[in-house]
Amino acid sequence: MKKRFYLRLALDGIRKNKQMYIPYMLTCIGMVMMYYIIIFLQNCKTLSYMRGWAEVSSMLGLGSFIIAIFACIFLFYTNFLLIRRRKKEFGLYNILGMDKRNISKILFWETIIITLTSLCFGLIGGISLSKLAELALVNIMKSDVNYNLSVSLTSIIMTALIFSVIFLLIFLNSIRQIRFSSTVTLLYSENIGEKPPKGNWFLSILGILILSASYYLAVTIENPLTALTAFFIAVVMVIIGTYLVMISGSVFFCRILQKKKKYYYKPNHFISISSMAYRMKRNGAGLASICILSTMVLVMISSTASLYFGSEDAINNRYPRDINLDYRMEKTDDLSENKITALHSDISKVIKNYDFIPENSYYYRSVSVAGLIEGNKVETDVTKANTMDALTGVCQFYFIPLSDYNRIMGENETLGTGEALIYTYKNDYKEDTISFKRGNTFKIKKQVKDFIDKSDTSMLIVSSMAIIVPDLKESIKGLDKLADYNGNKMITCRWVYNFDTGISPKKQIELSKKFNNLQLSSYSLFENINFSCESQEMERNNFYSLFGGLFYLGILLSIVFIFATVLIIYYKQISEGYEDRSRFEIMQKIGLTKREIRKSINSQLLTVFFIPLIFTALHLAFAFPIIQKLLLMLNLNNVVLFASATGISVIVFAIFYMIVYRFTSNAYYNILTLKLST
Amino acid sequence: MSILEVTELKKIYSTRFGGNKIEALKNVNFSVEKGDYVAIMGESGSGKTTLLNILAALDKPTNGNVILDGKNLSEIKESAISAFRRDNLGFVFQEFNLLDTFTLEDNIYLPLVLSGKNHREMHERLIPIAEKLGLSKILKNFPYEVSGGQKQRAAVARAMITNPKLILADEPTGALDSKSANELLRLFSKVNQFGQTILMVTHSVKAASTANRVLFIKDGEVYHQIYRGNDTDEQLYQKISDTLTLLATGGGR
Repeated sequence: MKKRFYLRLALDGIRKNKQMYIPYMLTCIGMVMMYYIIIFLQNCKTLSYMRGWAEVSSMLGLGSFIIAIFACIFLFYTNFLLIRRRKKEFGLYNILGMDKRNISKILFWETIIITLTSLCFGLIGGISLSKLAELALVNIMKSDVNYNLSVSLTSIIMTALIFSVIFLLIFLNSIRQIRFSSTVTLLYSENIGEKPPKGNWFLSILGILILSASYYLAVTIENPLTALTAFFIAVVMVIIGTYLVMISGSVFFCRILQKKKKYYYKPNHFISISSMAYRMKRNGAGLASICILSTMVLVMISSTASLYFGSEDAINNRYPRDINLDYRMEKTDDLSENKITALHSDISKVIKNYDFIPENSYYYRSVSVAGLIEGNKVETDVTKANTMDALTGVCQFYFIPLSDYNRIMGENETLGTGEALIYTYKNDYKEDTISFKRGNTFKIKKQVKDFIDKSDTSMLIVSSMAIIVPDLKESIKGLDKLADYNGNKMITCRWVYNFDTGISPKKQIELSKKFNNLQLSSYSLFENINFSCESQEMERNNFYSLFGGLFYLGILLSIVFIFATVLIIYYKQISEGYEDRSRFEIMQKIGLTKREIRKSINSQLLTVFFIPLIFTALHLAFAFPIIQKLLLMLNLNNVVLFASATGISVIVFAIFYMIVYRFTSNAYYNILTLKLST
Repeated sequence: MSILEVTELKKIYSTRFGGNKIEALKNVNFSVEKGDYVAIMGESGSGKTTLLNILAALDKPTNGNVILDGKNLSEIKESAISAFRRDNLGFVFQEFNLLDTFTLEDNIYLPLVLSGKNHREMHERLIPIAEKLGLSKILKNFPYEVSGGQKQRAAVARAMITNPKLILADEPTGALDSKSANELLRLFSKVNQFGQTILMVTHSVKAASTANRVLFIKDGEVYHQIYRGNDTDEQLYQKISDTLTLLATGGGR
């Protein structure tokens, strides 16, 4: 009986404050859902066969961690506002003879109700959505569809555990708030004026500094290999910086404006600026969250979309021709003219059975070695360089015989002994000579304008240089002796043969399979030969499943994040409506017209609303170079595509944001006009 | 010359579905001369607040006229009414109604800023008023940092800074301790002696006894009124108490 009584009071309390509690509970449900889906995807078996899944999975792990922290902070904050509004009610209970313990019991039941509801609905929503997610993903990846409802017990337990702990902490915090206030302060807590925000200049400047530093980091990053680490550092810095700037910097900015008397004491600015300072103090955290979430959404959507729509580009980058044969040998002797000719004619025999003549074909020999450019010298012992230099200054050198160059490019260049042509990619080499430590020195006759610059991923990532020499074997003398700690040779000898076929995709795949399984008779000529045959057609599926999967994940997570954003916005509007109501009542009594009030509200809402959007756009603009470099690692080298994907995402998001704004500001006005209309 | 003229004022509230009609004001007639200090007394439900709302142009009468300085309130357009209120009336409320987002100084400036005055002029107007009301030292403070009496004085300053034709005060001492209340009433008398017209609605006999004239409202009508004449505050206090006793016990006029 007694227990039922408290339960009833708790239910009553929630029902009576439903305008506050419904958004709060929706937020909780949304958070649970979001968390479950991410944990589920991370542990999903269907997805684990996807290429590149390991990386995605670890990123999801990081994401789930961020969301747990985010949920904790945000729910604490909203619950704090909620309890503050309800203190009067508790004060009344207190006067009517309930002690703090009884009130705590009511709060306990409320916590139980909220925890159960949000976990229940959140998990149901999460499970159904995640199944939907999985089905769509499987469809995209063209795997077998499995209609069993897959429920991940570990994910459920994880989610329930994390959120129970969060709700328990929130409950303890509410009790703390009630315990340490007297009956009277409870009763009048709503009327106690809030300390006006001062704006901490130290935190503001710190925020701006951190933000600028992260921007600088993002813009100056050169090497995609280091981009990933830098990206994570920049993300963390941006999050911290945004929070600092929004919470402290904005208030500080309002205070500065207030000091400018001519500007401040104008009808349009007077009320707006002073209430903005308050608004920003209360909503800084919410706005920063909105900003971070929207940035995440836009980054995810724009990058995964450009990957997906740029798949063909990436395939062409990675696999320049229909069939791409790549032979690697141990010794430079294996690159001799006659051995290669034998190999070439063997391949031609195989091709004959397929009834086509290779088109757009090219083949060349190369010996590649990595080195560090220091002036006109090259340090070939990369282990001597420190790691940071090795990542940023390293260059891949390709020695190519002059005869192969002339044949491919249709040129008729001649070179004397010790002379070389160079072709640079992603670096500009200005010296007249280039000399390799433990190797030869070359006089650079000229830099050529064009050479094959595709076909090797590493060419897109690190800088590289083709050195065209008259005699391959002579030129790399010395370098061929180099070996790493394990005794592996530092040089790589290759013969590359790429061509288009003009036969059906099915035949192409068949051909490339055949090449991979075939032992050509000429192989016996070589001391040691490794070969691979990659066909565009065969890789196309792989690319589409990887990029399609990523795109899909991007959309899914974006939906989840957008959901959270909308809830935060709605919650913000509702709670602000209640707080602003009395203030606007006073203003009306003093002689503000309803139109003036509306105008002032509108301008404030608009500013507060569009601050996150502006910051999002700013973040995105500065993130652009770093993301573009990350995309390079996935073979996407299409800046125009990425730029337009980003542009379109921003526009679509802005429109969506505006709709949400319209929708939620109506809720806000409704609360205000409840009283204003009389 | 009377600054405020109220004739045959009537206000009927209908309940939401038009069923019950409540007559808040039956037939109210009175006038206030320039420089007068009038207190309106009456029990809860006598129609005091309704009357004040109509005088403040916050509410419209069902019948009758309110003429402020020769202008009929019901003839002012809806869009102009707020500006009219801002320029011609000053308000002092029981709950002070200061905005906690502003310093006291900015709270006092509020009506002037809304009328588009420049900062220098506002400042020049503020200095003498702040001096008179003893606010000079706390102008930069926020409402939550000062006492109730100080808040109310700031509210009075806000009401006075526009040089209104009439100050309307609704239970101005209601939320104050007796010391602050006495101080405020002395202030009202002083302001009145400088020529400011004041109309105050109150429950408090003490507050009413500082006025020059006291109107008693009962059941939506002006039931009785007392002029100070040459009485001291104490003598007026006695008269008001007697009248109230008479009203309560149902004696005749």
